[in-house]
Amino acid sequence: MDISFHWEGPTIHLSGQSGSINPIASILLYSGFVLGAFITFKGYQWFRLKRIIENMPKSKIRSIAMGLVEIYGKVKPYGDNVLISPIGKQNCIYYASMIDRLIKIRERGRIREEWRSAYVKMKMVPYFKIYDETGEVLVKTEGSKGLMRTIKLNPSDYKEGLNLEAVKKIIEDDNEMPKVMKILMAGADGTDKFRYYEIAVKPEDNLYVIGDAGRNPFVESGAAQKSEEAIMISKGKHENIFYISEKDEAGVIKKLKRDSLLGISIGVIVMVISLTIILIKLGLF
Amino acid sequence: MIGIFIIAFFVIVIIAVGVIFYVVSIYNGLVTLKNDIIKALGNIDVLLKQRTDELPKLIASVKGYMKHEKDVLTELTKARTAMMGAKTMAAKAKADGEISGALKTLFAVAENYPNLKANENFIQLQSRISGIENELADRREFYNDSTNNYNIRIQSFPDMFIANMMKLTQKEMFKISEEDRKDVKVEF
Repeated sequence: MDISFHWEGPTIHLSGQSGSINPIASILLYSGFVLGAFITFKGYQWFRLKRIIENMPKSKIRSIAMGLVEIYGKVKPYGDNVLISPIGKQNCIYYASMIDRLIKIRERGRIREEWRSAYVKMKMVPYFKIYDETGEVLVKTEGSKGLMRTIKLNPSDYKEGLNLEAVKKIIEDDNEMPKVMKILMAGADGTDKFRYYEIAVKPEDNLYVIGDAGRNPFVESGAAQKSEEAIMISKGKHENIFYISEKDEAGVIKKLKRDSLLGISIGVIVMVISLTIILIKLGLF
Repeated sequence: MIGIFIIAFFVIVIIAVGVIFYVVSIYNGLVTLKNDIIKALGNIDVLLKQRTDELPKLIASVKGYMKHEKDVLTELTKARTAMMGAKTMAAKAKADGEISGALKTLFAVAENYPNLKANENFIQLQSRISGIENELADRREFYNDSTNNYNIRIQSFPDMFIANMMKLTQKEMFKISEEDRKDVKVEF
């Protein structure tokens, strides 16, 4: 059997076989296969994280030891590291805000309505503190996973009550948004119907953290009154696990179990489908 | 038709890789759990050492005031010596319980000595040792949780097969002494 490939113009021909693949289709199929492998690998990573969380007991904050730790406590802002959520104007350490606008689209003489994203923003403070009944500890959020994720929403998760003026103001007030985006978003054609979603982690909210406990760079060696003051939780140099969630441990495990199962299943299915189509196109069926 | 064989072969490879990854994750998980227990024990040791180092200072600060409480101080000194000589976890746990008991007695007896209670050095030492005692209690709890997770995992299916191959056996938890289990009697 001869399975050597050679280019002949815009198509790939398999010597000795009748099939051929358009180059763009072949790139898409091979990309699909690689994407499947990537999703499977992500699923495996979530599965591994789930196992680590299951096996790790929670630490009380006053007795945190250096290395990978898991804590659950209440949020306390660190200095002036406080955000104001764009829609609800709440003091928080993290927010994810989304506004959709109902757009009318004319298609072949018919009008179709569709929700389009008008504003999306997620932000987290660089530092915050977390405390329990025994003490408090500093958390450096850079590189954390969990909260900073793309939130998939159901239509029932959204709220209504924003008008065009309010949305324009939210967009105008956002100093971090590039000007061109402001013009695009504020000037979009559409109805005056908006829906929004906002999640904010406020002071006193419960938060779950698993990360690397290391030296607190803001406290001089030996200057800490309590042992936990000398510690900061962050993304470890060697251990890559750093997960922050508004869910408790059981909720985090449930989410990771679902994500890992979905990731591995979808990844394998995508790989098998891509491979099958590649083989069909190559005339190997 | 060769395509069907390629797909079948691919699916078999995927399943085989999945099984290998799963077995590797169980093996690595058990190794991590085993090392977590060693680490948890090491973290207890650090605090035991800190507390042991603080005891001579405490004894020196109270000696002058508690001349009639020789037994309490002798018991504490003996427990400290036992802790310093302890090599096994069981011996350390026993000496740890003895020190905790002797310290409780010492702090309770100190209530009868107003001058001692007002001594700045004693207050600082008492606060420092009480802080270490609290941290020790947390770390014992952490050690027991780690040990419990490990013991459950090595008895669970399918981890038990790999645990057997690794010759892993159940680990003992930190036990509370019989004295600590007794109800505190309050006399009026």
